[in-house]
Amino acid sequence: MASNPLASDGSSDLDLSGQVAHGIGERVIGALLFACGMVSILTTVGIIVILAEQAFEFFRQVPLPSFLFGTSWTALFKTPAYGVLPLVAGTLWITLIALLVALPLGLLSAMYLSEYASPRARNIIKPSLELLAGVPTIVYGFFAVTFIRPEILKPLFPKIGPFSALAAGIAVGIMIIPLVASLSEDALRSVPRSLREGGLAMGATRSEVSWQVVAPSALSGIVASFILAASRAIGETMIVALAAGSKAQLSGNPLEPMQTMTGFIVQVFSGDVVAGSTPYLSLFAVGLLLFLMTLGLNIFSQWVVSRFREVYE
Amino acid sequence: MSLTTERAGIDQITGNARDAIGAGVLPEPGTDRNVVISLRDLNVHYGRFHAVGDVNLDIPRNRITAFIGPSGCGKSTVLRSINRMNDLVPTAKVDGTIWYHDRNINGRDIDPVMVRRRIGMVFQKPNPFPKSIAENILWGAKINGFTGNKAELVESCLRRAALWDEVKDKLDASGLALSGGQQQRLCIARALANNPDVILMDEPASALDPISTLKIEDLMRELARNFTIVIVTHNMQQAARVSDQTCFFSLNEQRMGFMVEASPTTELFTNPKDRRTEDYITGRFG
Repeated sequence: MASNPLASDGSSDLDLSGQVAHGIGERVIGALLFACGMVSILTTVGIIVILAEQAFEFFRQVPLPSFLFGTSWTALFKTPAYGVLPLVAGTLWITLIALLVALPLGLLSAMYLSEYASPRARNIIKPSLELLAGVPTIVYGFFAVTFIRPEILKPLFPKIGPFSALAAGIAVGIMIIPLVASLSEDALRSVPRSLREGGLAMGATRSEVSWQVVAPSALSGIVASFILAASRAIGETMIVALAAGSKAQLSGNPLEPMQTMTGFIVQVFSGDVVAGSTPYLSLFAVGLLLFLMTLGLNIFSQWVVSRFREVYE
Repeated sequence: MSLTTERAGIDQITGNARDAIGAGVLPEPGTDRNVVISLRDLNVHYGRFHAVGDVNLDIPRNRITAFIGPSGCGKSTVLRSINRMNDLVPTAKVDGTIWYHDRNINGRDIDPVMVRRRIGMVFQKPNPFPKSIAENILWGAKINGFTGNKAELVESCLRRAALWDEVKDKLDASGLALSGGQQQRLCIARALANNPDVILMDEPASALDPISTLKIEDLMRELARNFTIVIVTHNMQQAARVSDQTCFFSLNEQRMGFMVEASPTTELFTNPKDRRTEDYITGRFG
């Protein structure tokens, strides 16, 4: 051991030993907090394991290609067919319609709130939007069936039936407006004030600054809000269960009823399917596919945020 | 000259629509072609707070005018009145006249957007847009309806901002990828693209290292050949180094800022007229 050059005579009454034991208490607390954090991770892992296990059982009875590429879904019929494409198509139709409603309205609301609204208007409108986010989705489903279809869509499209992808899609779209508006607004507001001033000092008008400086600067956050909204629309269940109908069909016409992946899962659970039967197992295959789709979108959204985020000093 | 319509020529000086005012020792605004901006009885309130009182000042053409003074003395507020940036503060109220050539740009009939196209601004913290270097320069020109050769404009602005040699091979790189000093020179180049005749600089070097600061100061001297520059600075040495005219601001017991004196820079630093200026520049106050 090297000699300590400061301890010339080897004696010192400086005591730094303290209570070395309190390190144990710190470690216990750390471990408890770690355990709390692990609950959500373990839950996610548990979901994946259960889904994958039962889905594997299903794929032993129905080959994967005929599940993924089959164009007929008649799981609950006497002659069952398990081609998931009609359910995927129904889901994508409703998601598309919902996004067509929610993206423009949500982004424009965010732009208004962030760039144009007076503090007073903002204090009224922002909480109202957030209130909209707190409405149970079953209420939107009810709204789609009792108002959107008969009062708005029926006069425009007399041939529309009681259930349609269009009515459900519009209701889902209205439901996710607050999500898009709130997240996009956060992104717009996080653009530094100095950039707005820089734009205005160049002789730009407020709308030129809003659309050509602020919006591009917030692009990653805006795109992330769009993707999260899409993922929310894909997973939405109650609205489509009520308003879209339960007819799984590959159709290019959104005025027709369609069944989504989530809609099918609800239908099976609320019916009397025997546990362990093929239709029962098909739930897990559909659920797993749904899980993978939303997971993929969420990962994509995180990638977008990290790839395109502008770092301001 | 019209600031209310799109892109009027600067030479159309009509000389009408002007109130006659008595301006003490200062010449009547608009009569001296070597004066670009004249502030007369400028007062700024933020809500009930009287931030700046009774500023009277002439800003000469193709010269650098520096505003110095302690924090809170209103020098940035005065600067921001000149390009109507105080309009962005909802509680701000600017009274008095700001003659720009022969027009009162503090008037109701004046569009602040048109004012800002002629009076450019560079801020304390470099604030390039998160766009490429070339786009940073072209954006202002584009919103001003520029139709000429874009590549030439980019090159000439970058050259005049002494940045061309450092960035000519990466014009498509993001403006945010540059160093702080380069970003600030990019912001100056961006302001030049509008072809203003006045450039306001609000502590343009206070966020920069000493070498970048010297580069900005050299650049200011160079630009003063063609532009009228007004700079706010906390740094007295900087004011002494770069400016032709220095204005010393102070604040009274009510925290209202006012201008103590405006003198040629060498005179202000060697032989100040006012005792308060002397106290400040010799470090006894501030």
